[in-house]
Amino acid sequence: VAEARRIVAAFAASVVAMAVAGTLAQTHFVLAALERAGAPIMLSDRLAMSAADLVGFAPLYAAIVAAGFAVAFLVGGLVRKWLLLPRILVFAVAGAGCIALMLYLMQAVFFGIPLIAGTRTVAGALSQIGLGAVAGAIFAKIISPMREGAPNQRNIAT
Amino acid sequence: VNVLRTFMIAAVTLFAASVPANAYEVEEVAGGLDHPWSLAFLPDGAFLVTERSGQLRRISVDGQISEPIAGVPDVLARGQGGLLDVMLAPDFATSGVLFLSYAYGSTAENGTALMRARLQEDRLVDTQTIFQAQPKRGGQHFGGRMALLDDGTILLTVGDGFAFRENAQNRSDHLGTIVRVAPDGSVPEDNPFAHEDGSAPEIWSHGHRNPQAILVDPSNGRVWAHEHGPRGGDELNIIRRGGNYGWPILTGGVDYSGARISPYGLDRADEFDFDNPAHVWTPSIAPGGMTLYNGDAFPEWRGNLFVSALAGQALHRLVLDDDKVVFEEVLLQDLGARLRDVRTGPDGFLYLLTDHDDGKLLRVRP
Repeated sequence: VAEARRIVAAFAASVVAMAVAGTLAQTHFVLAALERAGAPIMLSDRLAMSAADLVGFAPLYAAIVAAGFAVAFLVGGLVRKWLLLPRILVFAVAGAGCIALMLYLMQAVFFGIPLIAGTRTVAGALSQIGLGAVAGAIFAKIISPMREGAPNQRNIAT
Repeated sequence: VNVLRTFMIAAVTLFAASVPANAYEVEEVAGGLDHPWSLAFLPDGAFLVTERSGQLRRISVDGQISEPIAGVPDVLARGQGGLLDVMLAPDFATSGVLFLSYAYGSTAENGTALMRARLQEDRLVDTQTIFQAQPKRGGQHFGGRMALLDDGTILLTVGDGFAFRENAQNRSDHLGTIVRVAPDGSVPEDNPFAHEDGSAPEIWSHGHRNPQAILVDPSNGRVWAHEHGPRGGDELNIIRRGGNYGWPILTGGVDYSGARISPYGLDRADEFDFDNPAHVWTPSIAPGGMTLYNGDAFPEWRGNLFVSALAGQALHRLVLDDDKVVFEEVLLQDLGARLRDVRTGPDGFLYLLTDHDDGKLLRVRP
């Protein structure tokens, strides 16, 4: 039960981290593009739009990320069962791969256009993929045993 | 003066609201059309209709649909792209000249284009591409509606390509603009940015998202256009030479994802020198076509703008007081159809196109 709770908590933490950080990154890529288009962007505008996107966009993003991470981390767990790779590496790759695939699929479905405006540039897309890796690493870190020699170390990882 | 003006607007509004809802009926002229996009009225009473998948067809007075007219350009029939608008030249009866707008290219590289051609029986001849917007990728937001100015030049709306919204503020390409060209494709010397370094000379106005209707009021030369907002913020604008309509810096909508597009909503319009909309629809109705009614069949509707709605699945009647919308009535919701286009026929009836696999040409008559 404790292991299950830890996995759930790790999953929730990784999803929340991805949704919040991903939202803020997308907001600021959008603002940077607007600035280049000639819009004056004040600090107050950045803060207000960040807050608005955390309310208006992050919940939807979290739901999509949760669905993707559920599959990606399950696959990551299976990979670790068969390959002796570092836990953090496996789940970071799973997180990054999940976001990359998600962005690709959204674009493919929508006639080649990115639906998340902050990912229209390579830098914007890479930022989301990088944050996916960080979120995967967070998941791996939380599900890791707290102390050396903790029971069921392998099982927790999977 | 203000009191008198208020009284007159109230009177107009009351009168407009008093038009009985059962004063008209809707009848089907033709069905089985593949996402019809635009129509034109031929001198003999027949219709020319474009289908987005790339066919131009003639529909006879009694609703018989012809085989596709030959000579139509290859179009990119993907996403919102395809064969779009059709407009007859003023001297069509003698010259047979017409204009077609369409999406050209591939998914990777495409844009809005304008063709001039001559209709000779069942084929287009003397075809000439007279304008091509610079290419972009993706299959969305082509604009593509035309209007003819008094001087014979053509206004063509060009969408922002969806993923390139900031380009609407950048006059170096055609995305998010309305362009003006002569019927032979040349650029009029008096275009506002024709002599500005770094600007595309065809641009007439910019800062647009996806304008899909444009018309000229023959009584005063005023140009009306509407454009799709994102989620909210559909706009009706009065188009002026050199105008900047603010997209995407100033918008009344948010992204489809729920994310903000800009920190600037329409409530902050006074912070900019943009041209502000005459009317806004939030939530979006997804405006498709538009006509300024000047027929005799519905005298009480003369001078009203009619806007067909796709997502809204209705016909919006807008009562104008000069450059302001003072009353709006939503009609034909009971049809349950996406309405792509609306036109005033020479007979004074309204004609509608429904945007479906089994699209219809409908007539609204007393």
